[in-house]
Amino acid sequence: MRSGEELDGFEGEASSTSMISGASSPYQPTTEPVSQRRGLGGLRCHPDYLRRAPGRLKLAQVVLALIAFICIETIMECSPCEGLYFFEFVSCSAFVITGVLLLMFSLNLHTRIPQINWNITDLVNTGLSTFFFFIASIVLAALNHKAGAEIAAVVFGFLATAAYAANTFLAVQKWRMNIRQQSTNEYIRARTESREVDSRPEIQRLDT
Amino acid sequence: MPVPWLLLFFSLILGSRPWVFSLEKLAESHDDARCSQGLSCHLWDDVLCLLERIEPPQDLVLVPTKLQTEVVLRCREESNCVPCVRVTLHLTVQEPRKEDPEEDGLQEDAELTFRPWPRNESLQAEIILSFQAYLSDRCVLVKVEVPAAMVQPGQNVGSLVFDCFKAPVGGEVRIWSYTQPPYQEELNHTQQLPDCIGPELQDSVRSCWVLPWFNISAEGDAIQLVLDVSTEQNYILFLYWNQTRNFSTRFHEVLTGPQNITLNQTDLVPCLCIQMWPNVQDAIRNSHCPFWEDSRAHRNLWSQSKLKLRVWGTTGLSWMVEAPCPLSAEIVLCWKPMGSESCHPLPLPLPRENVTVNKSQDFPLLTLHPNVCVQVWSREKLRIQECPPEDILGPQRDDMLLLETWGPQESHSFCAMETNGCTTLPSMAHTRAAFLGKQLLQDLQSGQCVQLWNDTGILWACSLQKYTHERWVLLWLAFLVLAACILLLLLLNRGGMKGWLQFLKEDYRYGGAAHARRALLLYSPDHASFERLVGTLATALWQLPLSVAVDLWHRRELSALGPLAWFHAQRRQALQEGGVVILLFSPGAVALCQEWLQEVGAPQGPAPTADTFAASLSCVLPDFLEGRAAGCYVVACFEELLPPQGIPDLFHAVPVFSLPSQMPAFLRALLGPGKRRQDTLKAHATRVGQYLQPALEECLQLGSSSAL
Repeated sequence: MRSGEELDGFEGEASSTSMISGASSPYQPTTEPVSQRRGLGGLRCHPDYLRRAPGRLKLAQVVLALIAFICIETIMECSPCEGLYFFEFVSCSAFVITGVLLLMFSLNLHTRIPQINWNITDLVNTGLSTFFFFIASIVLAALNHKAGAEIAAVVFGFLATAAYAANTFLAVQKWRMNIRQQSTNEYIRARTESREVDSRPEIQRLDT
Repeated sequence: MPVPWLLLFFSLILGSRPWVFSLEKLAESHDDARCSQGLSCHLWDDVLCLLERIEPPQDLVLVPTKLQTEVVLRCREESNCVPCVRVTLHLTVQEPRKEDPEEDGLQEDAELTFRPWPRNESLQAEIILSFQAYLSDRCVLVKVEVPAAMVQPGQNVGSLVFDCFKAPVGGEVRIWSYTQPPYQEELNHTQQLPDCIGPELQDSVRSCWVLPWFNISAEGDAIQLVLDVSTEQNYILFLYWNQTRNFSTRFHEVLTGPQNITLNQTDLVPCLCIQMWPNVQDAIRNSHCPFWEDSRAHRNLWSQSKLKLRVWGTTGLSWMVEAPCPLSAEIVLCWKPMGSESCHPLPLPLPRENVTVNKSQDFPLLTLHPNVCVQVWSREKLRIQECPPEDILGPQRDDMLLLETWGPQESHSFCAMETNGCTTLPSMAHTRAAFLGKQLLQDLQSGQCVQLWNDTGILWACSLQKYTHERWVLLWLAFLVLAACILLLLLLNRGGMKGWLQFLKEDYRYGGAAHARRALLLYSPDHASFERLVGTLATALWQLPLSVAVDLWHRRELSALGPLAWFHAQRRQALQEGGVVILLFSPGAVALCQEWLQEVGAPQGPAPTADTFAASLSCVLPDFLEGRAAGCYVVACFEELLPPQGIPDLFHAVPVFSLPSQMPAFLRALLGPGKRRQDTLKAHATRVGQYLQPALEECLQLGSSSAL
């Protein structure tokens, strides 16, 4: 529980220690890689996320949702309008939320909030988007006005549904794998903890 | 007598148009009635005009069948004439009409009394001529006799000419003619007499010569009246608007001599008339309206005309055209689609009503609609367009106008009004109306449309609002994007976010966003459990908030700088920032203190305790010895480890608290001056006490047996 003005990382401590201490003290600075700050506030693009399947799928979902939204926005008249409004809402929300998630994963921003389980969030998002996009596309197809823009929107809606469905499948797989891993991890951790005795609980560990 | 006959013949052919030929001049000074050959007439002048009830004739009678008038001049001398009206009446012998057998039972009697012709008697008739002019009415009676030989039933027998009836220059004369007793409706005729402006009377009528007259000269924008009169002549110039029932004076002045008058632009309208007459009583007036066809005058007229609409409730619409002149125009209803500037006339055989200026007329619409506007058309051009006021009917709505007509055999046909005409519904075209055609028809059947007109066809206005794609989703999109941006900004600026979260977590009950007071906790590390107790106390004090510095947490710095340097630095920083130094006494501390304070006497050997407390003591002792300690130092001790009396007297200069019994006071002293709430302090005190309890117990139990 240190004050906010303390330096993040080991930089400050390491320099002062190396400068002043000639005396042999049990508190020697440890070596640890110093995190370099590059870009805005420590941002670094992780293009490997976009090279793998989930990243590419997310990109596809964003593009398809955007195109579907634009297609449906070009329509001026509708009868009835409720189906159109629903499709608009679904595609708009899916576009923004998936876009935000894409940004966060590709820039590794999700590690800054470890309190949220990002896998679960991703799974929930893709699952709901699949479901709602499917329903909205079917409703729009049922209205059957034969206007070019509507047909295009339905097509892109179904494509987006497919992309989301693929992503859901991968996310479910990942989640199942995570569960299996967690159970084995807990066993190992329990064993290690019993060995280590923390004799000085009041000594606060230095933050990293 | 052939000359008058010739003239009569000409005037019969050409009608009474005196301006084609010069007018005939009569020399006689009294009235006269002449008949055509064979007939004999006798004139009785100035009889009473009595029009009796018409009775159908029982016998052959002589009736006038055609009335013609002609203007002639009655002259005293060659150039001293007055205009006069000559009447020519054609006479016919009429048989009694065979009446309807159902109408009268006297038909048998009529036939019995009717004697066949030819007979041996002449036919006689009394014909009355009635004249009416301005300020004079007259009637004359002419007795005509037709000899028996000339009587042929149903044939025209001749004519009667009456000379003549004096009439005023430029005036109007009405003439009636009927028999006495009258056998049919009277004949009538109106004769307009020429005025002094025209050429007919100029040479003959003396009073025309002295009249002043004008010329119009149009120079550029201004129109000027050039009054060409002889100097010294007094005359009156009168400019007025000749409206239907009255006139509106624009200019009325007495002038002398030649003048140039410039006309006001606003006065120039087609019905602007000019009258001039010499300034004598009862003078003949010349009047002329020269601007009837002037294009500028018409432009002025329309720019000064206004169409006023009045709305009564929801079903009454009345309009009134206000214009300076009588107009020949039509009122047309039109439909103005929302967002468009052009208004299309309604596709109905609505009667195009003629405009009567300054008269309020109604429109027979069933329901008023804000899109229905009123247009005034004149000479195939749109002149005025006016829409109903927005504050009564509301703003223009996005509605579609549908026309329902009935074809043969009860079939209804619908069409929707669009810019390029009326589109029949249902339609496969690509227009808006065709796209929504089916839905609109359904709306009509279910009664969601408003009926505007019900006559030869029905006009419906259907709302299109539920078919337009409203863009509420763009607001939602903006909201989502804004939330996403805020989220990303927070993630990028994590430090700021953390500081903000901490800021929120701080206890506002202690006087707002106060920076935590710095506190330095000095103690003597007697044994391990005591160290743990001190650590627990320091942790508890963090929550107050207090920025506690204790050497337990800064071991690295301590080793780097050395304890003395570190304690000095910490004490200085604490005191500079207005913080507080807490001296926590324990038995070991007291022992060291005794040793130090008694150092004035004999040294006893090195202290058994660690040098950290010695270093801390060396910092604080000067302040106490010099008496500067008040306000910055607080002394405390755990009463179960060390009674307060055990603390050396030197340290009693500052408040001494025994924990945990005097915890609230201790906390208050730590937090320094400022408004504190009793209950929150108590809550904190109990919390800290609870927090310390296990550590204290452990300390008491283990005592000095726990390793350092």
